Amino acid sequence: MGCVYIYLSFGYIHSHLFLCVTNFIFKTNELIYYRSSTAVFRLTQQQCTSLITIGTPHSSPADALVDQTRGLLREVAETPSCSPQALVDLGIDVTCVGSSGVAGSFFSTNVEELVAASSYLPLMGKLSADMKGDGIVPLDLAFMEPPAKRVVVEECSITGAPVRHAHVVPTPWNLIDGFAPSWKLPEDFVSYVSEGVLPQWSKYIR
Amino acid sequence: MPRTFSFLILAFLHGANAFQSAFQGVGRPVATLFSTTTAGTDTVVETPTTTTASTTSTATSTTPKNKKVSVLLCPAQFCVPQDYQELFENLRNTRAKDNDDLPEIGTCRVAELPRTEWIKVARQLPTRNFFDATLNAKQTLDWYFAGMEKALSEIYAEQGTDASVCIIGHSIGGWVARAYLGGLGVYVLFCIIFVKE
Repeated sequence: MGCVYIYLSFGYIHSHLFLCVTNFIFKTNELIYYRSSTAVFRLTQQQCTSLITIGTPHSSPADALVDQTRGLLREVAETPSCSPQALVDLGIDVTCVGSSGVAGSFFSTNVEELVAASSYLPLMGKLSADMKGDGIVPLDLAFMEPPAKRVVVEECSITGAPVRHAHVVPTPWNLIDGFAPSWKLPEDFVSYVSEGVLPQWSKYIR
Repeated sequence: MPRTFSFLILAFLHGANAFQSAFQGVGRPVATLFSTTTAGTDTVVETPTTTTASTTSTATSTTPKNKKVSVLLCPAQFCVPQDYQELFENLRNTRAKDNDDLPEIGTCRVAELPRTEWIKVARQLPTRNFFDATLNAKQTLDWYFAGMEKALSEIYAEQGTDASVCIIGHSIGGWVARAYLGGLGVYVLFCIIFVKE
């Protein structure tokens, strides 16, 4: 005889304890989840063929001096459905692109290396002499685990300039015009989107 | 003793993320929860440990040249759509140079987020979760997910609902896109548990 139980939960501890007890008593073995997802979300899970991240930190080490995302990145990294394997299982080709163009050092007269060091250190919790990245995100954090592909771009194929994190400087103080473009950096300031860099990773668009 | 099934319906008015913590696989769509099919695994034959663009180009999952792919770009913090026109322009130029690796590029959109939207993160500042570094994506980034969905809607409106979509995430936009695709942007309403008595 089948019967129906209805349970309302209002918080983490309450629901977690209930489910643990349920599992212990009834030996739960099958679960079906119903979600309030939008049609666009469901369609995108079907139609998305590739995900490419450029200059994205994908983990927040326990040694990091400060969790700049206040737990958000850890939640994403630890959620099974956000893992590269789960995304691949959905038919999504996952590629992570990082740069090794900018070394970080506090003992340098190069402003870029000083800025890079001040970004790498709090993110990694340490700073080694050979630590490289795109000037903001260290290479060690720019990748997901396999089956995600890893692509390192170091320099522009046209100018040989190192690949930096971005081609613009955001202007968060400009709240009068929220859509005004950010400050564009000089043409010789190469980033992931530059003409001589983009072909190095755009081949992974599926 | 006859084996029967009972049904437990768990209704979660809120606390979706708590539920996600309780069970693995919650982020997967219902249709795939009990399916043994792994649709994408045959397209990924490379798990490179090498770290240069030239050596990782050995991927064998190729894209047909006549395939058309639309692009959604998830921007970095405080960046706006106009900042990425250079990327789209270079993408089309790369394709125009007889690059066989690239599919035809369809509609390109940036998640439409004015920099003023980022102020909404401040709603979390006075919360316990912020100080404990336990913020959750749904509550904190709902406005970003909404911006993504608006752009995606425009892509489907132009290209049809059978359009292939590539999501490119720049900086923070990369893991926000990952969160969205993994289902962190939607609520779990309730769950049915099949119980063998």
